[in-house]
Amino acid sequence: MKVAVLKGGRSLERGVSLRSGARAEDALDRLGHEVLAIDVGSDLVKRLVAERPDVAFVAMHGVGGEDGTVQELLEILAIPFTGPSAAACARCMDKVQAKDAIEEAGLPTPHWFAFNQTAFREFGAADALGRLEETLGFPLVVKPSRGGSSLGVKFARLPGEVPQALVSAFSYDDRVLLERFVDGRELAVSILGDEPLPVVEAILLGGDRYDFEARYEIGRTRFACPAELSAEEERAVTEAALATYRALGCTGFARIDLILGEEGPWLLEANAIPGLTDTSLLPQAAEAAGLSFEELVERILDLALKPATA
Amino acid sequence: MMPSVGVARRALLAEDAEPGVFALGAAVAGYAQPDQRQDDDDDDDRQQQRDRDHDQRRQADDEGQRPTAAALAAAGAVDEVADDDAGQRGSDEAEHAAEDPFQQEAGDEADYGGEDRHSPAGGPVGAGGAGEHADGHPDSELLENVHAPNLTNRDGRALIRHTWEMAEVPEPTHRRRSHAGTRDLERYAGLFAERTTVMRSSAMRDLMAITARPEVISLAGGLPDTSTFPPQSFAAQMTRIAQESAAKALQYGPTEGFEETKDCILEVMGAEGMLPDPDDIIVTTGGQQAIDLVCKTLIDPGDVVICEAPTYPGAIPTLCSYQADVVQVECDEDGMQVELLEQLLAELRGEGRRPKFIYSVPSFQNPAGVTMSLPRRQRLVELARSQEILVVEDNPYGLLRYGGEPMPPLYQLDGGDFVIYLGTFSKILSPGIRLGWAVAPPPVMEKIVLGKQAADLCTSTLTQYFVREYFAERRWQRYVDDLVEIYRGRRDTMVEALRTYFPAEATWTEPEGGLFIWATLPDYINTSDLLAKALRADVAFVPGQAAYVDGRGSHSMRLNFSGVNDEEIREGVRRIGKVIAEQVELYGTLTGEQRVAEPATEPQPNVVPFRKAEEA
Repeated sequence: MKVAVLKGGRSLERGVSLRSGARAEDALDRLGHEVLAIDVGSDLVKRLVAERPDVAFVAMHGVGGEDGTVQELLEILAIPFTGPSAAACARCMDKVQAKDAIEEAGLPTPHWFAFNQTAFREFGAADALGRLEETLGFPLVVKPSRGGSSLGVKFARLPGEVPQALVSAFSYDDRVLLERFVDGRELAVSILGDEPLPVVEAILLGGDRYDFEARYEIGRTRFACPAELSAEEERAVTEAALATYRALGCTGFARIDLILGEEGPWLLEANAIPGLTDTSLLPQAAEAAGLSFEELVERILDLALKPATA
Repeated sequence: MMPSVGVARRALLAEDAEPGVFALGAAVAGYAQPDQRQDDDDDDDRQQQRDRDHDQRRQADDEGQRPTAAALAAAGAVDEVADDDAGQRGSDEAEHAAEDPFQQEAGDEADYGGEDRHSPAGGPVGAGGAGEHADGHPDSELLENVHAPNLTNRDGRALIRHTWEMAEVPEPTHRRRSHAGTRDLERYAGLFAERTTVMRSSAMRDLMAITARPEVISLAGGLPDTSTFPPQSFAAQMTRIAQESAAKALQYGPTEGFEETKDCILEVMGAEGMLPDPDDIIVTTGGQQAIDLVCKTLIDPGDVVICEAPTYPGAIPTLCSYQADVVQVECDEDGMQVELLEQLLAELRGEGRRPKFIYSVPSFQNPAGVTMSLPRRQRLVELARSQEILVVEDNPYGLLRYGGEPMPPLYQLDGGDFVIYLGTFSKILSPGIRLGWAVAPPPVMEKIVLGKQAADLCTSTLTQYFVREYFAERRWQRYVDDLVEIYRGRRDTMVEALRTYFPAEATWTEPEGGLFIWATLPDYINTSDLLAKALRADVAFVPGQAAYVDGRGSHSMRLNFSGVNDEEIREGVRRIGKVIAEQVELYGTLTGEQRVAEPATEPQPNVVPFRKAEEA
């Protein structure tokens, strides 16, 4: 089968995407497919039209590749592709939209407020900050609405730190959200087709727990898979993740990030195209489920081609 | 007896034609075939022929791969810190190269079987090769022989051209796929050394991956300008090497480096007033290898190493890969604050920990652009001597001075007892030749040489020959003078642009030399996040955090002025200034204090102060 691997692009996560793509290409090749690697640029449509691949393997992260843009093009060109649909990608990418959908489905997500820059620049939204800080409490989390990985995500422990965190978040997107901080275990549930894979837990190894960037720094975080959960916890977590997956209209695969607090799981966000690098969580979870990377890739491909039977 | 002789001979032959890696491959092949090792002399001869042929093919394969590796690296490599992806690919290529001999073993054996049947008289290689040397191109012998069995009608020139055409056709997909198995990281994950866990990249490093887009003005690089080096002169020197010293220039050299290279090094060091003993010098593959070798020689996991804050971003991965416990001492406009260093040394002594060395770039520091004052230099050297701690002085930029008075290197002040000196030709001639050096006291040097032997046997002889030819023309200082002129102009342009376009709250250093300016912004601006915004405006810089091991530096940025022209400097700084101004204004809106993000009207207020407030 001729498989176009779409990777790279101009997003801030280009580096990770190239690694995800390269790894997928190798696996596809070993599986005996004809691989067409495309570093996505302005000639994408032209190349897809000329090459007519049987299926597109989308290994792009961040704006452009994970937000439904590329998926929309593939839908127009009638090329089947891996991962969620354009609409689902767009919903997952925008944390505000995603949280709306999660809440509508009756699932718990930490309380939040969203603002765009205009609100601050033209309507004096800064004057409302005090009130909403009271509602959310401290520490609170500031995030760009659309942004991948942990880019631009900051904790504010005190009111004085909020403006600075907002300035950082606004570096990535025109809309940001302020979210109540929920204490608990940080879990990620990858879903393949309709099956939740073993839960991964991110365990912080010392350091400042409110320094979000440090969490992703060298040796600061350990990932445990499968996470040590009681049967009850595991059921609650995977059910919540599956419900979120469905609420967002995901198909193929996605990774749901959540916090397991004392009162149960709190849904944070969904990653429509989780990374496929050797340190990424989806492949780790698949491996814990007994799926080799090739098997994972093959399954992802099957899901793209036979969504109905998946 | 017979078997071991056979193996040894084959290994020897292999080494004649190609690097040691392959000799190992041949030896392994010998052991893998016990029956062949028992063969009689005729067979042994044929085997030698096979091995020679094999080596040459292997070499041709290398030729074919090299452009790809280079292109991949070049496609992403902006800077020593920049491109993780390129790094990844680079190492992938290296992996292939390392595994190739073993992989090819099986396939090639089959080939030889076939050849033998058709060429009982020693094969067409020898016959074809001998006939074709009439064209008077003895140097083409190797390449010719590679293809001779298939292309007996072609002359040497055509073959060479053919080989190069092959090398230039980019077939990355195909080539990579043929090696697919070797890239499968997860299969090897259980084998990785623990140190690889600290070699992982951060989100910020990934961000740097996209600074390589052609439309981006990158002030993130650290590249010297090699565009003014006269091509004719380069061509003449390389031709002279080819004509007069081809065999030697293509051969291995001494691990310590050629004496002639050391003579050049003595000239360069002499220009800054240093007179080392040539026996204390080792020629290395770039200054970066010198750092690596010093670490290899001195650091056990957990050992304390003291650096400046900020420090050379490219030293951090090296120190981390040896699992050093890096402690950073703040700089101000006069370089590392040696008073703070003294306190730190006392604290460490209290804890019973003795740092292995203090790493410093005292002149025109990367990234801060600052230069250590003479009193601090003297004090640092005294401290090293009295406490018997080594200082590693990294001095790539010493000769690139655009103003002020020359400052004696630490090595000169100390006399070379407790200072290990690192130098490089990268900034005064070319980074592409990968020639650097280290100067160390004899007992340390002895270990460094052993480390170098283990790492790569010797530094490229070819580029050592080039440097020797280049220095023989006695114009190297003039070229440095030319560079100084160019860089001085660019520094001035950048400082001018910073005054024009950066908001009043920003400060920056005004270096008297080197390649970098360090700018510090108000503490509510995080430069890693700012980079995301700057990249949308197609401009890049190095976020200050890259120069710290502990996440500090988040309000600063490193700006390079050597690798970009005046126009790009102005435009790049203008774009960065614009995104900063937007952030300043937004912050004002958020806090209710209206800040006017206009550039300073006073021409002077932002120069130099190396915001100590930042450390609060």
